[in-house]
Amino acid sequence: MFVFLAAIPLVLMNTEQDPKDTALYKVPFIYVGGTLQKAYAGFSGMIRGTTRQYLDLIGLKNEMAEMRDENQLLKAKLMQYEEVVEENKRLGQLLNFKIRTKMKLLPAKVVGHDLSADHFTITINRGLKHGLKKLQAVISVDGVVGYIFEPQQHISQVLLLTDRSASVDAIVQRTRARGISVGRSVQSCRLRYLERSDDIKEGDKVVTSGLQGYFPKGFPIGEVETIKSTEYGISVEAFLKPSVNASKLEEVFIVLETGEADLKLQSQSEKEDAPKKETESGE
Amino acid sequence: MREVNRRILNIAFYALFTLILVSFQTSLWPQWLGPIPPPYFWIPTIVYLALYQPPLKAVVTIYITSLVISSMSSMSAGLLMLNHLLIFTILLALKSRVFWPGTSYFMLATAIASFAFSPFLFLLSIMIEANPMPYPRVLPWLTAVLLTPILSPFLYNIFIWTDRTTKIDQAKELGADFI
Repeated sequence: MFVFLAAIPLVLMNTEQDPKDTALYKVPFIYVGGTLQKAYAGFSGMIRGTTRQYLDLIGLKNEMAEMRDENQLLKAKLMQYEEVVEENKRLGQLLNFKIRTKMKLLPAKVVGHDLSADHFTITINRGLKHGLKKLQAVISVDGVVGYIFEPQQHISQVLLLTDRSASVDAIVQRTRARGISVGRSVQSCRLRYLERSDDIKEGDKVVTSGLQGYFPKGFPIGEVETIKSTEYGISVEAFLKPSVNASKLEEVFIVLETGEADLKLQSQSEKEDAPKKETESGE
Repeated sequence: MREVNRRILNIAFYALFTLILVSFQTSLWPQWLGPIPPPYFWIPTIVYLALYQPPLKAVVTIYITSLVISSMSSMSAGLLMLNHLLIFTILLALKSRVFWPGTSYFMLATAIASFAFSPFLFLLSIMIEANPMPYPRVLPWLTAVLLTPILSPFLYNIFIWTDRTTKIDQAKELGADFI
């Protein structure tokens, strides 16, 4: 029996000597083994795949969170950038305006608005300390904003053109008809005390007369929207749309000194600019 | 602390606190929330004074508060005082008929006061001012009527805390208490 058992391996070793032949007795084992290996491999692969996927997911999740944060940051930066671009544009316009004008101007930032929705004032970050006085004109690039009515040490309140207590001496640019612009509501003023014979029509530009001495002459106040006769037909009054939307103001200028030649200078520089533009467009 | 000093401190608190609220309304609110009309931040102060302070002290404090807040507007201080006095009268009349202590009543009273403020201002402007309001602005008014009562419970508790701190006991006697 011992000899028999010892002989089996030797026989098998003998049969396996030719590598070209596959021993028949091995076939079923190879098949089952192969299947099992395949199954294991599949299982292992599945586990590894799932693990990898899970790990990847965790990684992705972290990566996504990082990217989301980064995205938020970039969005915020972009918004900030856009804000800076807008501010730059606005400040550029202000600077350009300040350079081109002969008026002595003091820039100021709007820091507050009126308490009541029916009254129109803004608070600016300049006061007596900066040389401000009552009734000094406040303007922006687009036109008249209002005038100082409560100067304090470090801040001042500006009565907007649209406030019912505000009045500015004005003329119709086209016909030089004279009246007084009085505030009415959030986006409206009245041009009062016009003579019945005055030539005025819708769309006419109304500008400052410069007679009060606080405002530069010929600075835009607004545009005529409608015209109506007063109660007894003695005079007419026009309703104006102000040139400046005060609710959107962020920076203004205080006119410390009005320059008489200011608007001539402006129109001159505009004329000078015009041929250049034509040449540029021609090119 | 002497009684007089405590009363002065109490009145000063209302004036100062209202100024802080109104500064927030006129400066930070437009910057943060842009075109959304703000609530009337000072109205809860007027309501609290009217409901939970003795009438004379309430009127004096309301006047001082009106003076303080008129510094943030082109509105005449007199017109504002008159308006607040009308609101004070309405609230006293309301209190004499219906009253229950607590936040809900304070919110109701604030809503009534906020609702009354703009129409009173419009009517007073037509009656008194040389260049009156052409029309009342409805949207800011309605927004304020909706938002001011929401704000009031928070302020109510601050006011009661102040009265307790400055040892003004009338408020409790007149029905005020924490939520």
